[in-house]
Amino acid sequence: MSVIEVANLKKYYQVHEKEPGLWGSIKSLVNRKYYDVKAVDDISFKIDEGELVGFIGPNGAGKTTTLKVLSGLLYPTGGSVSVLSHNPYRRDPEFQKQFSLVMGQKNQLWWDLPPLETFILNKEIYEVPDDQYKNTLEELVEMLEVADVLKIQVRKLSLGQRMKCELIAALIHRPKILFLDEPTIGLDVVMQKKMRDFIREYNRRYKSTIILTSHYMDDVKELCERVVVIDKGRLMFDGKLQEIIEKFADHKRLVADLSGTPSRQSLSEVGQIESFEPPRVVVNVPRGQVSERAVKLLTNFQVTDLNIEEEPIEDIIRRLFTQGTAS
Amino acid sequence: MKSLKRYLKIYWLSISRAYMTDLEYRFNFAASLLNTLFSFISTLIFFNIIYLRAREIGGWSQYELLTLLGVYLLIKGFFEFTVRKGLDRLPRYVRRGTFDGVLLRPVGSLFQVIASKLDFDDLSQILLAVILIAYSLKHLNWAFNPVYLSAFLLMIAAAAVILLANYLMIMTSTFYLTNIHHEDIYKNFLQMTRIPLDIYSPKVQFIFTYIVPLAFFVTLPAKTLLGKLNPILLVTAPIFALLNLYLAVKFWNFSLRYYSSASG
Repeated sequence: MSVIEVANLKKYYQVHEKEPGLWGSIKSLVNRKYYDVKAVDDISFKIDEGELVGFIGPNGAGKTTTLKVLSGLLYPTGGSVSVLSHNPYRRDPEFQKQFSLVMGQKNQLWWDLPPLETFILNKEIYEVPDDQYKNTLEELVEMLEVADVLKIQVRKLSLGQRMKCELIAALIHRPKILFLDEPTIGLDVVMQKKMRDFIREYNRRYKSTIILTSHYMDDVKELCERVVVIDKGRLMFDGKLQEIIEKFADHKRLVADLSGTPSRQSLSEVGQIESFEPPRVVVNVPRGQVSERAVKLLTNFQVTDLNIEEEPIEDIIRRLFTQGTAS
Repeated sequence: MKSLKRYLKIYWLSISRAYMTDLEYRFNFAASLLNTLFSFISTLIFFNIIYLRAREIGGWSQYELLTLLGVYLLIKGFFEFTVRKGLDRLPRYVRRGTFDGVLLRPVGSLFQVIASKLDFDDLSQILLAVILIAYSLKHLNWAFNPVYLSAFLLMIAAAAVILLANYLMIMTSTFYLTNIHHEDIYKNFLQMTRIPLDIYSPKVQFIFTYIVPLAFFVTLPAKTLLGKLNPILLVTAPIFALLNLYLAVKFWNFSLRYYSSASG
């Protein structure tokens, strides 16, 4: 059963141009040229209960805008949106009690007070019963290992600790749907990993539906079976992560260790050289000709080791964004 | 009833947190108290100097005018204590995009903004106001009159609501104009009310009553206390107040649509 349904969603912003300088400012006071920025342009998707979906796309792709429309912060320019059978923009309190939006770059914790103070206030705001509050808090604190920082002022916490507490504040009412916008931004590798483990565990344990946006491919690769790729407000791909490779990868990589002194020139006959640091060389070859090219490599060079790999998913997606080849 | 209790609890929790935050940085409480006291004394001196030359201004004797000044301080202190500091945070919330958080929570957005701050420093204004009113009334040989007093409280309540509604409208324009000088607008308008509006011509008085409702803030409540009010205003003032509030809240709700959170 789908809990989120988005059909032909459009969100345009009106902005005006200003020429540089004071004169430009005066001119733009009198005569403004407005034009539309299409932050989200005709996007449709459905998400089922309990799914963990990754939104990927470069800066300004429209990921955050989509999440804001889904949480009722922005009024859509066109199309229809339904979350848990509610129209988010109505901002019905009954709806608001069932989801949470966490933005990695904004905080909702009281900056000068310990995180516990925010949790207590949220308990009242979301009308969480006492025993449920106690249990949820205990569980989350244990999962995130933050028992020792609950009574320390937020401004004195590290970014990682703060982000964990942000999550607790957002989850204290056990939302059915969780929107995570760049939850790992700015965190170090160890902390990123911990965050990911938590998100996976939370999704598994509570069967909550999660949409996650991230710049870090690793977040999406590790967590999400399904990804939605957005670029310039348009939906470019929606499906299993693995299918991106099948659909968009046009070459494979031959990673080989060569002995002796291989010549760059003759290697380039095998395929396009990605890196040339003998003994290790990497050559990209068209998907359809992998075996012929591998044979060519094996016959023309003294190969001590050979691996045939898929193009890294980061590269495929980067190519998708730079070339703009929509499916 | 249950939801009223819930709102009161949230109000208390939110205000107490704001105050705890203040305590974190607090060593300017004394400074702010001194500030209030100085501005109070200088105003007092100014008004007393005027009466060195005149026995009456627009039909107001010296102690009647001091009563008016007391009412001015009472309204101002009460408004700044309860509502204003919270509403003043709105432009910052909007500019930084923290208003997103307000809109996401299942509690009224206006309530959250107002409940975001209570400034206990302003209690000193209320205290000074009560002292000044009592002192002036004593000089006027004011006999305790429960009718005048309850009428006065009604007019004060109406004044508070009108002030809230008008200030709310000014602050709501934040959604359209990100940088309004609400501070200046507020100060300039409120300072005009320290003068009894009877000194103006009837036409101007009408404008300052029903178009820019300055008269309601100070002059009319003060007149009520002194037993000089036209009784019909006891009916029109509450109606006018509720109308103002209704329009202001409508305008607020309408304007939320225009709020496009920062960093789209």
